[in-house]
Amino acid sequence: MEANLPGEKKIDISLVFFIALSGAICLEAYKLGIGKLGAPLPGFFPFLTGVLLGGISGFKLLTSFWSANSGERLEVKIAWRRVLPLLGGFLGYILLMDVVGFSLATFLFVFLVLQRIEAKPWWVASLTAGGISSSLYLIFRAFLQVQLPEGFMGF
Amino acid sequence: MIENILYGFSIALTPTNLFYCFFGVLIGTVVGVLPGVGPTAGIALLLPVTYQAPPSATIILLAGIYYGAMYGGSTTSILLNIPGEAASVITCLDGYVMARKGRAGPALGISAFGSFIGGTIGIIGLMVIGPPLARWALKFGPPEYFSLMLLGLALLSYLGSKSMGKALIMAALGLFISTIGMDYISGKPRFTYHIMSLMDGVDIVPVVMGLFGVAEVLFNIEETMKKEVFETKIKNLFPTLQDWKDSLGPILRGSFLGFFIGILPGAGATIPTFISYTVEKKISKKQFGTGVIEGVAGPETANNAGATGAFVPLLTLGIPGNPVTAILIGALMIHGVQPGPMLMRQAPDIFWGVITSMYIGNGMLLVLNLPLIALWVKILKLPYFILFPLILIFCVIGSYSINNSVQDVITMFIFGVIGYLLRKFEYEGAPLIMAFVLGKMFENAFRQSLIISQGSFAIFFTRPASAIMLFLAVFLLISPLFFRRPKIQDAEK
Repeated sequence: MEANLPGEKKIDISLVFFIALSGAICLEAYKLGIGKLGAPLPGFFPFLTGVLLGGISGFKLLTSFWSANSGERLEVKIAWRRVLPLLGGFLGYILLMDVVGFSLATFLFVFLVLQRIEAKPWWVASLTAGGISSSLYLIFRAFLQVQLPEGFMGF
Repeated sequence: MIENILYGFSIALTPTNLFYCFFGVLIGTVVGVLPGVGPTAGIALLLPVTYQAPPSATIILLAGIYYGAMYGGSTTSILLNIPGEAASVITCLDGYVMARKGRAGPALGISAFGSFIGGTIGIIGLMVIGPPLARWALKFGPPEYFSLMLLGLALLSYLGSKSMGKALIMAALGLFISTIGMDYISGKPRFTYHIMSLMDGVDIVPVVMGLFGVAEVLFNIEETMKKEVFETKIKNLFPTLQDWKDSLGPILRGSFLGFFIGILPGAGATIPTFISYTVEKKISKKQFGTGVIEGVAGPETANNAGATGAFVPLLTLGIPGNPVTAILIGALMIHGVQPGPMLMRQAPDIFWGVITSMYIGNGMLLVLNLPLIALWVKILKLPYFILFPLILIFCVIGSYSINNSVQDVITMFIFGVIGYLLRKFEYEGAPLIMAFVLGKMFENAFRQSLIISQGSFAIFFTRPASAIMLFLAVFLLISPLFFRRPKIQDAEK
């Protein structure tokens, strides 16, 4: 994703983000205390990583300005219509898991993904979701004894 | 040496470890076969299964997944023209053409045999080089460790990434993330913002699952993956005498090339395959890209030898050479085992058990892969709409089961979004995860060195081993300013 500047030059927004992040890191690290070379304090190493992050990002940004050849342009396209619903559903699944339990939350998540995102018929989504959630419960909880959230239903 | 090998076999041949080895190579093959699930994500997804297992069984299982994925990855390259994982990219060039010409069987066959030979030679190399390297590393102090880790990060950025600048940015970010949590010297919390779950730092499992599991799904779901499995009756899995004559040279060269390059941090199993292909192309008089068996034999051997070589720095120095071995270090730490030069002395069952289990695992893979190719083809036809929810759910299970906490799962979600955005902007996750895993050791070594030298940086230059490694690291970091960096894309062309 790039920002337009006058003329042909474009800047990589990710580099601007990392420069800003490095500033925040350095500031917070300074508050922790940097100390001296012979007696570094907790903020010493994070401060250095912030400087490194900002330095390299700044260098790349500057060289992109100076470079006569603009080189390859980075086109960032995000398929929001597919990614956002999946992210939303996935976050909902994570938050719901502790309330209703792993099995029911998994069933609902898989059902919604297949029905809404993949546009499968409801009976295909139901059967697949049921099969997956019960198989996973059997494998991980019953057989491998992996701890899974149980919710109010106990499974 | 013989005693150690026999001891290793006594560990590896126990029923428990045999089972874990078999399970690991089987899962590894499936992970390799399935496009969109690489060995890094596969190992991270199966970490929770190992929490109840002994440390030796854990590493045997996880190592089996890694080199098993090398075997499996070639199946999709040859039959589908889609690499199962990065180290099988180059196999598509000639392997798929061979399949088109009705020679899928010999392609798959020579790939399996080459992988076995490469893996075996790699294991022998590991046994020969490992112990003396570990003994040498016992002399290392904090300055040497700092310089070694810096060299590892520099090599990874130099060799293994499209953009060195972006790789270094990721490394810096990884180092920063490793500082989150309580400072081990002063006990002061850093960047925790009163969030209790961050007091122990960010756990490696949610980070890896987010960056490599969730991010991969988000990336792949944007496009419907079109798969055309080449429908052909796969016959004559055993290569002919002529196939063997043509392949012997590439296999031997690929074995040594793969192993020695695989030792280098950052090289992993992918770079040896490109180099092997380039070498064979230069040596051979045949036209590569037209279904030449040398184009399959060399790279497929190199990737397995490279995967084995990557265990050298892991088992002897405690330094990960790639994201996979970085996770293995995390797995060892979860079990309370400190990887490094002392591993051979303090945990010989792990050191020799893992090495000898690789022999057994490679044998299992050779037996598994050829007769079960029909099964792998069926798995290949598994629709992605079933696969990707499973991957996400595995990530949730893996992250939750570390501390039975939803907060770890939320951390995984956050890193999944971060990983997806990073991929969109063409940043790679490997330098971040390597730096993150090394971060605490790196900081520890750096601070200890400065405390010992009372603030003087000369300590890094007055000790010969440290000075050499530091010089190499600096050379790698600044040389792109003056010389053109050889890129993977060049080898590919």
